[in-house]
Amino acid sequence: MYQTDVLVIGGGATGAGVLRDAAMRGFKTLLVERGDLGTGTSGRYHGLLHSGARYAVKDPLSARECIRENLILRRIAGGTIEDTGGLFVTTPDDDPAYVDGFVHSCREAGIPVDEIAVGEALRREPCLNPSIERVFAVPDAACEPWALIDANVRAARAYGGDAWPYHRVTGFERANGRITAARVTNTRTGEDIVIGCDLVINAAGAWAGQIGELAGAPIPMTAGKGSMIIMNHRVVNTVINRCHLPGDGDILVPVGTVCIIGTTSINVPDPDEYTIEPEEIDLMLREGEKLIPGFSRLRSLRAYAGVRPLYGSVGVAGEPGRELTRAFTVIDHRARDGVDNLLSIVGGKLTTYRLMAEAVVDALCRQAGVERSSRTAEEVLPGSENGAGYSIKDRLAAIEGQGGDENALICECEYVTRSQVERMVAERGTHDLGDIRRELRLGMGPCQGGFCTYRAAGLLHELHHLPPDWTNEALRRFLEERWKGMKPVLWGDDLRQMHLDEEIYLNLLAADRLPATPVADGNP
Amino acid sequence: MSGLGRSYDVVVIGAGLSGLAAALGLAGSGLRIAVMGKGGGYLHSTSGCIDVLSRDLDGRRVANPLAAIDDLCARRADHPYALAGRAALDAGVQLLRGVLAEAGIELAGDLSRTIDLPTALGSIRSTGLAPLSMAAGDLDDRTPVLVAGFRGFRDFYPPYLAANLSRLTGISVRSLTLDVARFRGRRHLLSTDLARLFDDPAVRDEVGRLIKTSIGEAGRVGFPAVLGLDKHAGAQTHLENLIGHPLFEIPTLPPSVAGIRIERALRRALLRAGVRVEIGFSVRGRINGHRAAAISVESAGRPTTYQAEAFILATGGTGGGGILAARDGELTETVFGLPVTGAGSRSAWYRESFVDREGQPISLAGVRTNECLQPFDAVGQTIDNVFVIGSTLPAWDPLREGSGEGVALATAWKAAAGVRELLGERLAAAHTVVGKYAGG
Repeated sequence: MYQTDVLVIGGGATGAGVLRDAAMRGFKTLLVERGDLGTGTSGRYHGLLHSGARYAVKDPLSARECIRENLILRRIAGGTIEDTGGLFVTTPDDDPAYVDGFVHSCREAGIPVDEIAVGEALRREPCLNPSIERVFAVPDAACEPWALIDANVRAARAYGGDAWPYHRVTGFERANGRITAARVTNTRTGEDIVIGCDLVINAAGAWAGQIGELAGAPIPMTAGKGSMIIMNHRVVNTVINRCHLPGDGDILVPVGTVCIIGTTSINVPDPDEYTIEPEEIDLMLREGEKLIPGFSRLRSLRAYAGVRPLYGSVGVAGEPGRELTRAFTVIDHRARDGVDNLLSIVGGKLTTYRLMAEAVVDALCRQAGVERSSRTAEEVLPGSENGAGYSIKDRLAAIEGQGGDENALICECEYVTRSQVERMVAERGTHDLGDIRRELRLGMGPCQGGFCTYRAAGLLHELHHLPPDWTNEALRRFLEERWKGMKPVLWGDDLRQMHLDEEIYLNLLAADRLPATPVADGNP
Repeated sequence: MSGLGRSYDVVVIGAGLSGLAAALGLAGSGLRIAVMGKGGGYLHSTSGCIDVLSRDLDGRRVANPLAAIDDLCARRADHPYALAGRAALDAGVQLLRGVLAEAGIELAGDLSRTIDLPTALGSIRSTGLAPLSMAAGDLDDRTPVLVAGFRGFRDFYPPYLAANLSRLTGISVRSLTLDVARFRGRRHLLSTDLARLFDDPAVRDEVGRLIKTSIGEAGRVGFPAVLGLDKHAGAQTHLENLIGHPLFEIPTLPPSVAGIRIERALRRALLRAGVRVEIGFSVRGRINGHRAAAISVESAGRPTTYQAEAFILATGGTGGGGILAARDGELTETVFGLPVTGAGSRSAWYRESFVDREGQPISLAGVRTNECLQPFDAVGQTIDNVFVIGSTLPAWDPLREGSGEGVALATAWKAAAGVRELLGERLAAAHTVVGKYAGG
């Protein structure tokens, strides 16, 4: 049995933030996550660090939280943020009267907003629709979620905290209205572990309802699916928003070498069971045309969806889910459900993850009867010490300088070298190509793993010396995972990519005729 | 159509295996032939083997390809093999064997027995005919294997290959990664780079020496398919003499050296036969009534119009660019705008799994034809002087069947025969007319 003061459930941005905050305040803290870190909603969003302007009119509380946190994160997590800035544009399809309320609400919320001339906006972003009528600059930015989560976990470890990915909570042990321990299963080994704890923080996001259920403390959660499309080009260098009430397909975020359009908002009954419908794709491409003429004819790389952790049961499955607040809530289950030592943190956005963590750890301190205040807004995260922002150019420049065959490119699209893969696999002991993807961006570029899947699998085998079935399964899972995102946006000349991938994996390599051992989460 | 014009008897559109084979099937008949290709064709990403039919309709491995094709034709009248007929396959294969032999590429096998060969993953790939350079990899042979790769070559992983292959076959397979001095310091080594290096005898000397000292119990050595490009046949013999055991090549990720060798052999044979081959231009065509009138090529400066008596459409399917599958679900043949079958809404184009044995439904899309491979227009009338071949044809999936090269060759031959018949009549008629006037 493992013993900890605080057990955090959920390895998204919120959970990682809670882990760091609690560890910094002197609690022995352990985080468990059923998959890899950042594989829930945090890793499946559009990468936007909100200024809050999007919510200024409709959800002022959320807007105020966003701008406050936006400014804090630029200071403490600059290494994970690319300061793209953001523009709100009024297209001919938007109600020009929205502008007055928008500017007023932004100012009320404390969001710096400057109107700039259309001509200047077009000089800055030449692909923008030349028919836009008004343009407002706000401090939106792009944020790399996995780097942010990783930085929080590393910071927490320096304070004695720890995180266990691939550990799923299967139940709780209770005595006298208290949780005494959590039962978890290591999904890689199948090993069951009991974790004794004084307090549990449920930061499972869209899955918080499921954890609450296990603890005898049901939480009304609505899973709000949001779909996004990754376009093969970085058509803009600034986050572009439509200046209207938040709707579908009205945000365009530059991320690395690509850009992402989002989102849709449809409530789904189960956060693990959803599909991306052709109508959602068509809608986003159609809306994209209003921002960037010709948008729908650009190459779409893949589509994906995340589920927003909306708190409340007003949402009905299948209905649009824009009515629930994007602000967050801390639930103390003592009075509500008779569970003394369980706190849940629900709702919110990635931009406000730190504030959410602070709020729930404040509640934890009150429960524990101690007075320790959060210092997460002051202390800079590892990797952000030099104050420089995240830029793809720096990453590429660092790799460009390296010679030697150990630096042969394994993934040409995203510039991932052999030595990077070897180092990462050695550090993490991972046997999952998805883990490598999230850390190094392997397979995330234009060919979507067409070449690097085989190469990375060959390397994995050489590094682990495990039975080949394990590697075969890792390869098969990665191919299927890439396919899942590709097929919603596969038409026209892009179909050639599918045929090339088929040619490589099903003809040249006959990967479909390899024995593979199905294992939970692809890890031995 | 505007711009400068040229005139041929036959224009083949598409420069993959089927297009090149169709042109070769007509070469030497006195016809003026041109091949127009938008790209280099798919041979650069194939195995270099000639797959004719590796799996039956139920997805089971085929033991005797020719018998299985007869069975397939009996069960599936719309399959390209059923349209082309066994004789066309035999003739197409014969043609290819002859052309490749002239280039020093011998094909092993006789299509009565499926050949099982190792892949770069160590899985088993079944084929009909294999280049002699791969023949010693035959897995019916139980001789212990040494698989050798090269340090710094990122497209071949001997330990992974060996682990899978020995587990699957029970054959003793060892792996070795060679550190070749002449390959050092190269950060991005492609299969084609290695192939050019292997054209150099000094490189082969070094590799041969390294293998010789580590051969152990193995009786044959597997290499990635990079053993020489222009001097391939001599390179392999040289290495085998150095090592004292048979060698075999294993196909790699694209670029496929084995496929490039075949493409070069075909292209050179066409040039020798006086066939004009132009690559790099997209083609649009025009139909007048029952006939294709001309094609227009986006050449440098201005479009060029090509008149011809017959056209062979070998542009490929949705993978090759012959068929465009639009976002709204519409399927279009890209040269003449011919009707395409196998539609359905976009969500029906794909299956849930990438490796589904049934294949992706979109791969079955194609231009429907009569049994002579002549297509139909929108109202069901036959276009007399167009012949559709290879992946532009519907109702087959080369990957799931393991039939890509066989169908390309069979339909190419069938189309060549159709063209000969059509132009034979016309040319004879034209000569008669000319003769009459000349005499009168």
